[in-house]
Amino acid sequence: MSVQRLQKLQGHIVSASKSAAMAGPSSPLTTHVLNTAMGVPGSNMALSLSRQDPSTAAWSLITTGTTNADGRCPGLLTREMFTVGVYRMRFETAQYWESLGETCFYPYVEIVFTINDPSQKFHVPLLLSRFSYSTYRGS
Amino acid sequence: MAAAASGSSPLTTHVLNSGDGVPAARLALSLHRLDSNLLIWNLLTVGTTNEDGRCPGLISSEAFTAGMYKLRFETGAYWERLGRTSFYPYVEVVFTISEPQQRFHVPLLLSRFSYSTYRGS
Repeated sequence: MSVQRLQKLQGHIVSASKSAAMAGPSSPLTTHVLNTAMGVPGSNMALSLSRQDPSTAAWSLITTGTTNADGRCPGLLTREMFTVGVYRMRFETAQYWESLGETCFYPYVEIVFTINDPSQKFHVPLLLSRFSYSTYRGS
Repeated sequence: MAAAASGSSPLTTHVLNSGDGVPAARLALSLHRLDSNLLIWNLLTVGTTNEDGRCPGLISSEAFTAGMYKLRFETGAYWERLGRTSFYPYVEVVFTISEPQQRFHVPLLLSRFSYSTYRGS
């Protein structure tokens, strides 16, 4: 089953707040994708943010998006939605490299992180090449 | 469940604690392969890194077929054992093997607030 098909099915099953934080203050959680192999932002990459239910361990989709020309995806969520919990950012990396005519060692990248203090700002970037990636907690 | 004793595993890993500048010893990890029909992960191997942060015998050459694999590192438990918190409860690295006759090295460079991985040999 293709990734696109899975994403479509996911969207039907789980109600996702796609509009998220369109207007108003910026998201307390941000990301930035850099294509370190080519020295450019990772633009037009599909990504999604999910939160884990602490009692059932099931994942709920919060938002999907695509990085802009600068490799960023504003409006991931609002302060109100940003509760304590375990979150997962998923980046469609192979799809991204495929659109550039290349293969990638990683079909996708999922970064799972714990938010204990949602009053802070969190920056979860992805530095990516075809055969490597790194991430860090930024501000 | 681990690899055969004869010959080294075609897939290796190495976990480094880049925060302290030491190998990440006694870190629990597991290797999984995706069943492409059922779209579920099959657990192949569980292990723990040794004093050098390595985990020999992940998989045998025979078992190492083309497909999608996942290495899951229990990083949260590792830092907890050292009495510290960390941003990531665990790290999963998912990768595609198209040519299983090659050797693949999938290391993890880890700190409490960052990690990186690359395809090595």
